[in-house]
Amino acid sequence: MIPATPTGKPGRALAAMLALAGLLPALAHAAPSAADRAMADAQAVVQRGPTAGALVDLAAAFMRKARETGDPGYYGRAAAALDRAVAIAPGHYGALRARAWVLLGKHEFAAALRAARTARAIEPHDWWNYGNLADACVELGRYDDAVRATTRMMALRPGLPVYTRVAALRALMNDRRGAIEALELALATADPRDPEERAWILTYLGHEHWALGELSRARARYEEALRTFPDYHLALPGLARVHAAEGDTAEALHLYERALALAPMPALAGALGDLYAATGDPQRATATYAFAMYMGRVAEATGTTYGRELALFLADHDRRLPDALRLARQEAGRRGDIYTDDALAWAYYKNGRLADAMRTVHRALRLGTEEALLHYHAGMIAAAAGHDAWAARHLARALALNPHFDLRQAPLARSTLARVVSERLAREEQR
Amino acid sequence: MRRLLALALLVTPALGAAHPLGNFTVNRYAAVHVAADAITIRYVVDMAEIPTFQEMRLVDANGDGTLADEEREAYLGRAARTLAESLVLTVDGTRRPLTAGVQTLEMPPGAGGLPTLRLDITYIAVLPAARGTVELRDENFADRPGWQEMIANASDGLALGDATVPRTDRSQALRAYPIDQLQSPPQVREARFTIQTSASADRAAVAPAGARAGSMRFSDRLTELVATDAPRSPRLVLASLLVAAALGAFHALTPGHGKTVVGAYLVGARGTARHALFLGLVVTATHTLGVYVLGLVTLTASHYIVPERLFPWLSALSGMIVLGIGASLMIARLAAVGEHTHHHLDHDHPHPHPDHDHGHSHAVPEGAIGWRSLLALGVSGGLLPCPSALVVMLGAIALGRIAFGLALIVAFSAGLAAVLTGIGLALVYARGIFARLPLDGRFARYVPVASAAVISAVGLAIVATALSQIGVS
Repeated sequence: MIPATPTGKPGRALAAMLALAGLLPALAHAAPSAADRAMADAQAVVQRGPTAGALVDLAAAFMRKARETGDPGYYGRAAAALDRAVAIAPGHYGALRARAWVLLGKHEFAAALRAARTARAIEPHDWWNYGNLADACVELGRYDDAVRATTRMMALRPGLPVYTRVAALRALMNDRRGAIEALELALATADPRDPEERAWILTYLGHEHWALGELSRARARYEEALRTFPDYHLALPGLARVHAAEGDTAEALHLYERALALAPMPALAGALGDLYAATGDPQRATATYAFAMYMGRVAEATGTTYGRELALFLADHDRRLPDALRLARQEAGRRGDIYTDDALAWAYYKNGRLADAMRTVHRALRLGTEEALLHYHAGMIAAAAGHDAWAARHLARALALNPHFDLRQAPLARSTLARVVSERLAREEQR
Repeated sequence: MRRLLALALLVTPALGAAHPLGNFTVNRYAAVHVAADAITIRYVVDMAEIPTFQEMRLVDANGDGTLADEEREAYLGRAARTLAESLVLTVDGTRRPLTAGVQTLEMPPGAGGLPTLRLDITYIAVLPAARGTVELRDENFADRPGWQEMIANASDGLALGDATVPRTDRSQALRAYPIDQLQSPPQVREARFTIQTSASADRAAVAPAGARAGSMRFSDRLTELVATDAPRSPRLVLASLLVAAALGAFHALTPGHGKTVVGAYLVGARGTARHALFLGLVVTATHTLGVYVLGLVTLTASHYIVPERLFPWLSALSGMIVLGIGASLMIARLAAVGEHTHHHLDHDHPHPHPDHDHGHSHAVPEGAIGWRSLLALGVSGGLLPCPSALVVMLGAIALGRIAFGLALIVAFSAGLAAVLTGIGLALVYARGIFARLPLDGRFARYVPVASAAVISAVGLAIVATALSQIGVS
């Protein structure tokens, strides 16, 4: 660490004082959020006297800020706070418990599972540990264990944290209505003083309605989320997607641009590029795709990766396909959930490795999750492998679930389905 | 903490930070300099890799991937104009137009050799007269996270009053970020100050760094005593000294300062009023001396030693002295009690000797209160200088009021010692009452041992706290 110079002190002291007074300069358009306040409070406490407890609180504040802004840099800062806490008080339980959470944020799922299990061994009645356990198990594809952990959590402490996990598991296991029910329950119990939390639940309600093809309900939920927490980076692309599906291109472009300015991610740039392409602006589309690729380069330059997200983008847009496969396999080494299997299958397919694609896409469908993109990928792979009936069934299912599921891929689903069906009919005729 | 599951389902990149603050930051810096007839603002924008890429779309107008000189010039001119629109400078409430002077564009390599963008533009605004309230507000890149720093300075003969921003920067104009992961980067988007021509304000502004650090942290009334500009009449000086003593007394009541230790020692060792007064004197002397020495260190070696970093070490030292006293007392007293217990066992009954006033007096023989350990205790109590006192002294030196500052410190230390002595005396007399109670000898005999244990425990706690601070600072 760079030693603080005497001149460096006033600024920090002043910041701490301002933070104490709750006067930390607000963003031009928004008052300090709950996460900002938590962060400033915890920093002030740590500045006065760094105790392990205060440092764990600071880590928790960084985690909230990470979710609120989509800035993964906060995960590193949360980890640093926990390291400091453990240095002061080795074996601090609060730090151990929070460690699992931070590792999940950093996508170190196996390590997160280990940390959550250690914490559970110490405090088997702490509901907190089961949340982390469930999350890690979901990411590692250990769905039975995830259900067990969630059940235990429900028994220990029914409430918002477990309702949202129930919702996620129900959505995975082909019960989207049940997922919506659980999210509505979570919304009813959400803390009105934490708008970001409400907005988060509303956004995921929007996602569930979108998955069911219920565009207007999805839009209402996304809009409510943005009213609750303006410029919410998770809700902006959701709403943009609905507007694009409904043909309101101008509004969709505006929202995507806004989201990309706030929290740049390859998937967002990909979606925006698709929208430019669909509206006959190939120049902007190319530039936006280039931006998505560039984000991947920056990530690799810093020794990290957008993994699955970038792999899907590359595969979807037929760019750097070997890289897409490499990234997808890398991701599959770290997590074992169905979405990673799906991305890997798609990357295999785009690289012409149909047998691997077939094998992997079966794994992606193992929970029977009803999601247009999963069915679309399965259908395209099956069509390429010559399994007509299978292809037709999955492609039809994808389009039935949500005919607008993807601006670029949905038309491909339609044309492939038409081709598969007509070829099948032609063969029948010949017979 | 909750709903992480679904958070993870949403593709969240596990992305590290190439740029020290993350690679989608836009860092901003404004250094305001006031001269007699103009204000210049050096405005620096340092963009991390991702915003640079987005900006490149504007820089590389023909899209050929390279930066032609004319592209660079065209972009820089545009950027200087656009940035000025959201850089709001007002003097006495009226906005002053900014004219761009020197402008440079650099593209230093960032993570993996990817380019970053650095704009360095100097704006000039004409001042009607070098007076009034100046405000600068940066409304550029409001959505972007990043280091946001502002400083303000003045030419010779001018001074800035009530400045909301410091005079020196922390990031060397965004060339080197002193990143502490646990603290948030500065988020200063506004600066406000008044322009003064008086020499007095100029002197106030040259207080050494340590003084400013302390005054900002503690915003102590004591500091104002020195910094006030009003001419000093003898009565005012006397009043100041009294206030300083009162503040010292008040300061002694705040946690720390070995009140517990003093009390425990005097109770256990059967101290007298004489002992208590001596202790007070030692505390005053040590505290005064400590402030002087630390003040000198700060002034002469401030480039090498940060006084705030010395505090935990001094704390640890004083804790160790206390711990040593406690431990040696405990050993001596336990030995004394042990001897006596043997004695008891031999006789097998409590002895009703009339020549012993009450059992405990011979557990610790009269005179066991060593002047030497009392001195050590006093030193430990005064060793840790109060930061406010240090600030006062530094301020006084900076303002050329050295004698006055030194006198204030003595007054402050005396006030501090008075309270400690008072507590000591109160305990001495309270113990007198305590001693007259018909206490069972067996219980009373352990009071000195218990008090030694308390002293040791306090010492241990001081050392532990100090060590944890050293460990993390």
